[in-house]
Amino acid sequence: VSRDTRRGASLLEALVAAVGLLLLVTLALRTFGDLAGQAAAQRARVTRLQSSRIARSVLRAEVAEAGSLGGFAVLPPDSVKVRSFRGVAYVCPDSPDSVVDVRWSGRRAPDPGKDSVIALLADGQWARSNLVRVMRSRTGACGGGASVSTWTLRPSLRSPVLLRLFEPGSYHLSDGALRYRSGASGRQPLTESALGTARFSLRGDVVRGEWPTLTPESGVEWFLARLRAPE
Amino acid sequence: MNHPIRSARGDAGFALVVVVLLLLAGMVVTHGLLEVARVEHATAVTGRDVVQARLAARSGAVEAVQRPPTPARRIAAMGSVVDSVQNDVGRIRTDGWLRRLSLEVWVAEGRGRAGTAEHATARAVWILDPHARVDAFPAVVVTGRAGVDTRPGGITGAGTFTDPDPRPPGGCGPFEADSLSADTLHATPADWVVDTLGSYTELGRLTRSDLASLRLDSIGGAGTPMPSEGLGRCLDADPWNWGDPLATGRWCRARRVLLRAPGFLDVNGGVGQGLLVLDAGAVLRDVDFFGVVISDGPLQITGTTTLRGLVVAAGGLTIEPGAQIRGSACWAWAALNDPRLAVPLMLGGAWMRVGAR
Repeated sequence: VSRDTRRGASLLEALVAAVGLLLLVTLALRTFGDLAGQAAAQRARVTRLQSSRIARSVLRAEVAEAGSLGGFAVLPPDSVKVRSFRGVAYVCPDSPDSVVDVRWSGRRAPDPGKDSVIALLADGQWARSNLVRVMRSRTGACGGGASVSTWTLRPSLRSPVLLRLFEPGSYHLSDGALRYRSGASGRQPLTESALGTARFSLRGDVVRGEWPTLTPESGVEWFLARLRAPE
Repeated sequence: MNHPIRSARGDAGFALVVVVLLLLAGMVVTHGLLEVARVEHATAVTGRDVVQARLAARSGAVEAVQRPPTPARRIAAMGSVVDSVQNDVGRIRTDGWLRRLSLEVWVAEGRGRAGTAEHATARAVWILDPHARVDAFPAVVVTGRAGVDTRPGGITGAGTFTDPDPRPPGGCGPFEADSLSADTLHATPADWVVDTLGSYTELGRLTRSDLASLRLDSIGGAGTPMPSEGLGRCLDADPWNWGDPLATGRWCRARRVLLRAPGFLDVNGGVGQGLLVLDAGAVLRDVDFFGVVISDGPLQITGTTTLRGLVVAAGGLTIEPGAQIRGSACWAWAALNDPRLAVPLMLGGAWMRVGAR
């Protein structure tokens, strides 16, 4: 191609290119904006679903484990007091009634400062007591091992065979989050603040928790747990 | 002037480079998406395994509870394990068993495994023990508002729990004569108990509805219980064949019945042994019965009737002259020592997670 045969159109080309580029940038920005908004909404939805799922599973498990033995109280609209199940211990044979050798397992180590027990007695009755001391077991009890220890109960119980370990606690639905309060300590959030306006209620022996769904027209999400349901 | 990038034919351009770069970028994006998908899949599989392991553990415990009662339950030592079940379905493994904690308190334990997830759970259950049950009862109990009408001469020898003679064919178990004690047998003469609180109406935790769910053999109307034999065996299908513990050498000597009468029962003469649950009461006339009688309705004992064992009368009891109740821990134990009564009952309390995994 010789220099003579070239025809100049640089201004027109530049203008077309600039307009095209502007359109592309505008379109891209708008698309990215939409995508960012959708991503944020999706993150919020996932957070909400996770929080809802955590709240349902935690509350249902805690209510089922505590409610069937009466360790449960609903304080509408936002609180539930529970005896939170933390472990189970089998009493070794030939243990005296007040100081028992046990083989225990659970979610954490027993804590005499705040734990209580609901004991299954030899005749099939349940009874309550407090755990006041935990010591290393006497030699040979229950075959030995790290999970064997000696518990002091007060009041002492008549022929306990199985001990269920509980700690006092309460669940709260406040500021859109499910929070747990162990004993007299502060409330610790278990979920993100994504549950909106949530509340508890009790109808008969059924505890109900409810919180708004993602879309207002869908009403509320809820969970139910029957306190004395035979599983 | 040479172009920096030329094809083999010498054409200028960089399409190949652009395509390669685009492919590389596409591969990076695809790899990222696959990695995200892989993590999501692993998370979902783990969640699924945890749920499957938990359900498998519960299933194992329930299967152990629902197994037909076995004689092993009666002789299991404290802390021992009986009635183990095990299932392997694909990658899911289920184990279950019963562990004895006291005479009548057990736990049904289950362990489930799905992939790498494990879960162990337990549930407290109660199983009737004949020794503990007999030990918990005074000899004869009249419970509820109705009283006892004992006419002169009608209760000779009644009220004691110390009369094992004649002995049951299988012996007296823990109530053999050499181990008898006043403490366990409530041997005080005239040991009648009028229980106004109605706390003796059940066999421990085995309630009337539980007994009904056991599908005890049903009996009704009027009849005479007699041993029925033929072709060298005891004919179990005959509803009025209640066995005969005194018929030495006969096929029906060891037969014991678990009977429930929903309507009023009229028994005239005959002999039998076992457990008799009367929903609407009965009249027993000239009958020799060995075992346990529990009656919700009025119970009338007339003629030469002799009941050996344990009687619980919740609807009033009338004993006429000539009839008698001879309290016997031995015969009561023999009647309750039936594997069909060793059915686990779920106690209150939810599933317990055992084992810290």
